[in-house]
Amino acid sequence: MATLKVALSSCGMKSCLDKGSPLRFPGSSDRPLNFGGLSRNSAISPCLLLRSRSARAIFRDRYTVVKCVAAETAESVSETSFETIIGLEVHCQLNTATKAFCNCTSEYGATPNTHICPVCMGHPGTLPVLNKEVVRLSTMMGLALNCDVARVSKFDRKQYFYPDLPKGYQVSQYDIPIAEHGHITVEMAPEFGGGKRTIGITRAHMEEDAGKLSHEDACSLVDYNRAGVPLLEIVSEPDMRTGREAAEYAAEIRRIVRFLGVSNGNMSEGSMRCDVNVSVRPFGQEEFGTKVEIKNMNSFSAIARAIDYEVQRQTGLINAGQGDEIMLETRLWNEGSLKTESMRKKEGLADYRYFPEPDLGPVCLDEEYVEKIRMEMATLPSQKRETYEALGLSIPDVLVLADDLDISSFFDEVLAAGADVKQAANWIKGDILGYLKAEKKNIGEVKLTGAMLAELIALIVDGTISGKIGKELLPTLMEEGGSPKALVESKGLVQISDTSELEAIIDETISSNPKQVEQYLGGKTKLKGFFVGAVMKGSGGRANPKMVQDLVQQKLDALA
Amino acid sequence: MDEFGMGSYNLFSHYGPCINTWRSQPHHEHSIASNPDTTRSVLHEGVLGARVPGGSSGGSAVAVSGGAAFAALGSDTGGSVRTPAAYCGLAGLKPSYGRLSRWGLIAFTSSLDTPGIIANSVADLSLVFRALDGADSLDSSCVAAVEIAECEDHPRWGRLVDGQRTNGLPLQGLRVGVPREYRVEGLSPSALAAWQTAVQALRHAGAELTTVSLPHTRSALSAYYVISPAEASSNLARFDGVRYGQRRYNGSAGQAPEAPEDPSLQAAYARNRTRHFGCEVQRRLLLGTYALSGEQIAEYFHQAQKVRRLVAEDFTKAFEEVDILLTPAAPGPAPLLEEALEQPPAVTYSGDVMTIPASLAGLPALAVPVGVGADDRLPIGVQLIAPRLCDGRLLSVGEALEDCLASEAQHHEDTGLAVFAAR
Repeated sequence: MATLKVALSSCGMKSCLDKGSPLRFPGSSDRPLNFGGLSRNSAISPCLLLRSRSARAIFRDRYTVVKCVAAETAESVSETSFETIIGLEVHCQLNTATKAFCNCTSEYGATPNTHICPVCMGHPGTLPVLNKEVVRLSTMMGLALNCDVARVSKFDRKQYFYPDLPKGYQVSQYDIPIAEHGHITVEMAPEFGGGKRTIGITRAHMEEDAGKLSHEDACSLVDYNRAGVPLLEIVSEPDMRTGREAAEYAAEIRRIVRFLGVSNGNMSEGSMRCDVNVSVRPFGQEEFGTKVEIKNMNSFSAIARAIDYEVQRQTGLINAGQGDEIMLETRLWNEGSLKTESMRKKEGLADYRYFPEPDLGPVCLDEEYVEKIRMEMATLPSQKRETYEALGLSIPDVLVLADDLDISSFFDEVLAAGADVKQAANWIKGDILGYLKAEKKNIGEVKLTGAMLAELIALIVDGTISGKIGKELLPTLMEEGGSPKALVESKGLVQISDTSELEAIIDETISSNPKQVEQYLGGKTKLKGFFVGAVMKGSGGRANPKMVQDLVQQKLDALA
Repeated sequence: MDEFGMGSYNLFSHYGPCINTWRSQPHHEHSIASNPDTTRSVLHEGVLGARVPGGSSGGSAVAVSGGAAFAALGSDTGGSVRTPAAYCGLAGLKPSYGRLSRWGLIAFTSSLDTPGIIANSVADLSLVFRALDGADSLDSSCVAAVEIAECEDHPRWGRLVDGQRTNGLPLQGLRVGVPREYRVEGLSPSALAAWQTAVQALRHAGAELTTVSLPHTRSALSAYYVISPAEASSNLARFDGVRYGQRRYNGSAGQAPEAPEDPSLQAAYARNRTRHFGCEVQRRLLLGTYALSGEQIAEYFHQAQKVRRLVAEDFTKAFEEVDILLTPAAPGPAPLLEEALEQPPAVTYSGDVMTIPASLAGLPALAVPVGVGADDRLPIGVQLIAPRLCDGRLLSVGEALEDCLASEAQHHEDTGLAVFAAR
């Protein structure tokens, strides 16, 4: 169908565009990323790293090493190692009640074109008024990213024609963003090599989102609910070298926005979107390779996989002598085929004709304002990690407990209620996260509180109940809440730690299993476990396991 | 008015040109202009000898001058209210930028656009201005009331106190600057006469007249014709046929559209915009897009912004020595419709030379009618420019000037100008 038509749906605008229209998505991802300088990582010589076996293992993790075997003749086998250069552009939707420049709600998931007004629809004669909360959240994020927060920044218009852009320009920040020159430190999990990485932040700037296009068979539909929703675009330095590092960087950004309440960081709802720039170059080469942009990753693991695939693709092309086929382009990650696919070529850099937004004055922040935000700022995930590490927890434990704000707060609550650090950590890492995962719930949706868990742990520590009983009680506590102590009492689950009571059960067990006793005495000492199990069963699980172990041993020894 | 406020003569309305109620006497015979680009076949015998009302808010001026309205609103970006006022023998006010809300005004050049007022007299203007004055939370470029009060209460720039007007000479001690750069080549005899008449009137009212210099006046015009189209190219991007503006259909209304030649989105934008914008709008959009493009922005837009700052600084310096400035409102009286149609755009643009500098500096400026030319019997006026946000002072000096002119109308019969009597 080669016609172009517009239809006004009852709920707002519905623009039907020709299917053959070339697609171009908004966002400032076309902006050239500064790949101009050597990053701190690239200065490490690969030769040094490869000297020892362990160094080689580190090297493998830190760099995507692609070995290439020239297949022509067996004699001319050669290997080329490539270095991968990765930079990210992350768009975070700011957690404001209303849009950036009007009073429409910025809520996600409403009926298309119901959260729109003359301002965000770009009606002639309307003017933008900046939402204060956008500035507050951006300032806070700038501080969290260790950036220089500009005391005076300004808005600019980024101009291009596209149906999801109501005004024909996006209000963004061009040459004077609110935050610049920052860095964050991420902690790599031991399975990914461990250690800390510092990744530079080039800049973070405020801008408005565009509408959302969806393409149907005969037309494209536009939902302007998202138009004018405030975003903070965070641009990293090209400091990452592996897909894992990039994924970990993105995960850290999400942790930060969630810990601070700056954004809900939900990738599937699009409130956090990551665009990745990837290029490869042979080790030793100074200039960067041709940069390819990848979009459409819905999870952190997808980011890692997409980068790994893209690196394989690019190095494969270079090794096959087809390096010139790597083009300045945008590729989409296809989660189904696990491949990146070309979306559009960038023929030269797009000219967005930026100029200062005349409808908005400069954004001026005074010292008092910035300091107030700095004081009010919640604990950052990196600070949380440091605190937990200082408590003596292992790095894997720290990474689990400080990964999520709710879990971390829950853990803090348990500790505040006096529980042992290690035990609290084990309970959360094991049974609680296991339960939440199985039930697809988050910690806020269950009735278990930090104080309750601390009480449960105390019951185990003082021997009132066994650990096993404790685990059995957990689902009830999760679903129904209440005091663990009361629950234990009402269910008669108090642990049997009375020696004579336990001995009675043991004696009965021994006398009712003469065959096993005979075998045990005949040398089959492994059967001790059988007796312990039988005693535990006989007590309804309430017997003190430690005491049962000892008493069973004593009784059996006495028989010998 | 001219389409999107772009025009100095009100020739470029979608509905055809607007015509001035004033005609030259005796009636001049002229041939019908034949420029197919601009005439739009509206010229018929009735408009022979007709004058343009000035633009872009020519319709507003004609409504007042024809008695259809007590006062009318217009939008003044580079002179669109002051020029029609001058050509139609009316008073026209461009307030300080940021003084009246731009909410509801279709944006042309956001950093220059100001709602303006046209009325028969400055006194009438003041009434309307007072009703409209005040900050608007919907317009972020509006100036806070506190800042306005500081300017209006300023001992030199503030409103003239009533006592001053009744006690002896109405403008006793007011320092009026006459910028020498406004005596441009091509200034008509009647425009010069009006200027001189106003100088005399102010002097008789007790004002001290001095010559001042605004050295960057010449460059203001060029800067304006870069900045204004550049911002317009952005402001008018929304009229792309997706939500605003029309889509180009080959068939007539109600019929199914025929298949367009090129189905791509970019081609659809180009068709919609080419078909529905008038020639002057297209000319300026192309100019503006060029001025902002990657290779040209430093050469054009950024340079123009610098010139704009220099122009503003000129005014700031001048206002250290004088309280108000007096200039012609236009280089001459309203041109004939057919002359205007034949004019190359560059010549037309140069007609804005009197009004543009104050616009670039965001200053309040007021066109005050002085009289009609002795020969052509066409209205001619002068312009007063006050420091930023001193709109109150501007209007009170304007009213005083109007009174002085009227009271001594007979004195000026010999200057080639018939001065308006009291209204």
